[in-house]
Amino acid sequence: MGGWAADPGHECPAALASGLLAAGESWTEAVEAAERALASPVCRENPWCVSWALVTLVCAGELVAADEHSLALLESHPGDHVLLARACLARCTGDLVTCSALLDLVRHNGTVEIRSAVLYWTVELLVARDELDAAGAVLLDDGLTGPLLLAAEAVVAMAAGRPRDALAGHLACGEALTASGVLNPAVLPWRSSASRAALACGDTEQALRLALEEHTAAARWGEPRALGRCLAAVAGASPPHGEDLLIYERAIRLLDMAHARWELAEVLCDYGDRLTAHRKQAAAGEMYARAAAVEIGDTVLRRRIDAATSGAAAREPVLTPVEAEVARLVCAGLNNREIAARLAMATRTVELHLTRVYRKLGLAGRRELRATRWAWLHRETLRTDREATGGGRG
Amino acid sequence: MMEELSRAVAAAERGAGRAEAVSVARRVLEGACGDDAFWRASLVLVHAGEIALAHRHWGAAVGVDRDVHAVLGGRIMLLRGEVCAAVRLLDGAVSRGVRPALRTNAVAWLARALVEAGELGGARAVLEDGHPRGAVLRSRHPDNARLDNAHPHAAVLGKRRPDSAKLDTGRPDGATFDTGRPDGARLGTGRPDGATPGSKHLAGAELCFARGWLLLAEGQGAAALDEFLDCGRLLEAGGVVNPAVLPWRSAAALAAADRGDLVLARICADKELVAARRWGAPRAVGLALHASALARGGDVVLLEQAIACLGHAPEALRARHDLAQVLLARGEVDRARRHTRQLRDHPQWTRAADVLASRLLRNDGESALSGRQRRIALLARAGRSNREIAAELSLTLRTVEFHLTAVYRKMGVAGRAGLRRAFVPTS
Repeated sequence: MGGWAADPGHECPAALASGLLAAGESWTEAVEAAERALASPVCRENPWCVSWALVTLVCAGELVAADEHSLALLESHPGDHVLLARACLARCTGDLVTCSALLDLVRHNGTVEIRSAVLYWTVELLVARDELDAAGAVLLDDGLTGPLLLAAEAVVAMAAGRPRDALAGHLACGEALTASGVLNPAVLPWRSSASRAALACGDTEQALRLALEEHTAAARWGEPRALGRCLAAVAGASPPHGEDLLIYERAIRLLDMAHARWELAEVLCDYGDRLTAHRKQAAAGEMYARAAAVEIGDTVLRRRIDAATSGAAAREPVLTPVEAEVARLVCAGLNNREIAARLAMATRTVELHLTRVYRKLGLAGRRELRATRWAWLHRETLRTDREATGGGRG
Repeated sequence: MMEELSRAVAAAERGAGRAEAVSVARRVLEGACGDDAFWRASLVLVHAGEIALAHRHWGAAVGVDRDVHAVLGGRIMLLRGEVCAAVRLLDGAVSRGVRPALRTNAVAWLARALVEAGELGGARAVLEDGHPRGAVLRSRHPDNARLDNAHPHAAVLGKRRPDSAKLDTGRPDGATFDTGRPDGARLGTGRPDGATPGSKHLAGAELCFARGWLLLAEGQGAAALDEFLDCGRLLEAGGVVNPAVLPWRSAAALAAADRGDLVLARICADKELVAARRWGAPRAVGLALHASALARGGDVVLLEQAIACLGHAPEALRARHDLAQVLLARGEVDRARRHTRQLRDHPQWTRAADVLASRLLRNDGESALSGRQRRIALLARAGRSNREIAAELSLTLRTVEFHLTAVYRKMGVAGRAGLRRAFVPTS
């Protein structure tokens, strides 16, 4: 990705596409130029053109078109450029296994021009699999240069718990990209990453500013993945005043639209954490479950989900024994009067206990309580209860 | 020949290679063909925008099954802008009990025709009762949808169904499931795998789209947007990317613009425009241009292009209506009046044209809305109450009421309901 200004040697739509992509303003024109390039016999012969056109399509979120073109090219004009584009495509849709296999292949072939991009994505994947040592080794490769080296170092620093270095790295990377005319966050979302790092340093103000800047740029380009990613960063840096949840919802919708499963899983997890902070445990549990269902092979994320869900389970006994008993009986389908009779208390007391249960679990009422994972987690006990109830009646 | 037709259908679903698909479909229709081939080839022509050709073959068809003929005819008539004829054909088919394989399409298209005819109540009744699982619609709308509007946190509270369940709601029951083409198995025509995903998801997507279209016409942009996104998911699962089959992104853009989310509207509209140009059928291009125009806060040039592309399709009238509103908002009263007059010739748009005309008469310089008035107008249009607007903009209730009164007066609308149908220019 080093040569944005590289002259392909002839006036071609691919150069136009890459220029528009870098500027990040004219989405429609960029996509159409890229498609013209891939249809032109001259450009198809030139690996540079093919590379730019495919990268433009991928960064524009035209994944179906990119998939069809790259598959066709694999047959007619195979090469590392096409393989890299396919790796990029696999990464976009969260198919990390395919992505990593393709990257390994291209890496061993060793085409020089695209080496930086290959190594950068390799580092990202290794960090996601929690193989920090291997990632660190890749950083030493001479092929990794320019802004991508800075970004890769920052990614490793962030994973190693050095957010200050990560922040500095992402900012330096952004500076280098801007200097070379790449203003489009769909190419490399350095501001979102920097925003995360700033947040980890405790600098909420800078985190929010970076995220909002990226949002402006992403809205100009108009591709849902980049937009969803920076909206999530905006939400993460926003104070928990209610609006943040809405922003997360919008981010999730956009990432879902873009089939960006990797980012989606991560944002679902963040959203779950935020919901927990809002004391909405039930909704948080659902988000973790959705994140787990995405299943992309990101070890770090997987561990985070497990920790969050087991943490939630450990925090579960916030309910006092009486409250838990009442909640269980509600789940078993008893009404307040029946519960009062069974526990020998006034109906009013049952109501009070229930109000507290709803508040503690972050639920709106009886129907939600019956629908939550709380009921599912305690299903063993519930079954006994129902039998007991049945037995009592029989 | 049948294999070629299957390829043409696949091309129409993928949205590339229009000319070849058309020539195959044409050859199939010129020869003697069974009901299934007739259905599929006609739909290829419809998707390719060859409405006149499809209409000619439909009119000349002999020995085609009555239901197939009526349902297809409804679709073609709708695209020709003959809404009443479309309603008659589809309503006839649905009420005499069209066979299961055709039912979903018939119901969805009938609902769309009714919406175009302005009979929203009728469309709702068809979608609720005409459909074997009418409960689906009822469970979501209208009360739930309103509830969702009022409480944006509802989804947060864990009420949202998991995605798989969401997908299911769009689908009709197993029996009606495998539509998109009638009874391939019975006719034994060239589609070896009776349940190709395209056809499987298509009928469900048609239903989602019809529901969204109705909700949009009722002014429930948020619920409509959900339906269109569901529709898109179903289509993508079936590998259908051609906007000419179902222009769900344009529709989603309209719904998003209606709610004031112009960023999402532009994403959807631009993507649709590129896909529509790739396929090259003018109607889908026109719809995408219309959506793009609204997503850009009302672009007159794009709307004029959209009207030119849409030709006789009923959507052209909607585009003209929006154009008149944008012109009105810009203070170009004469041009707005000219378009309003053209709208009045069409019975289903007479009322909207009258409203526009009265706004034109009373027009007090809408373009003079102040920034704050515009923001308040947009929020009110998106369905917020005065109290919510006051909270959001940190104003007193009284101030909001005061500004809204000025907005109504300047825009020449009678009140909130009038605002809902009016276009508020974003600066």
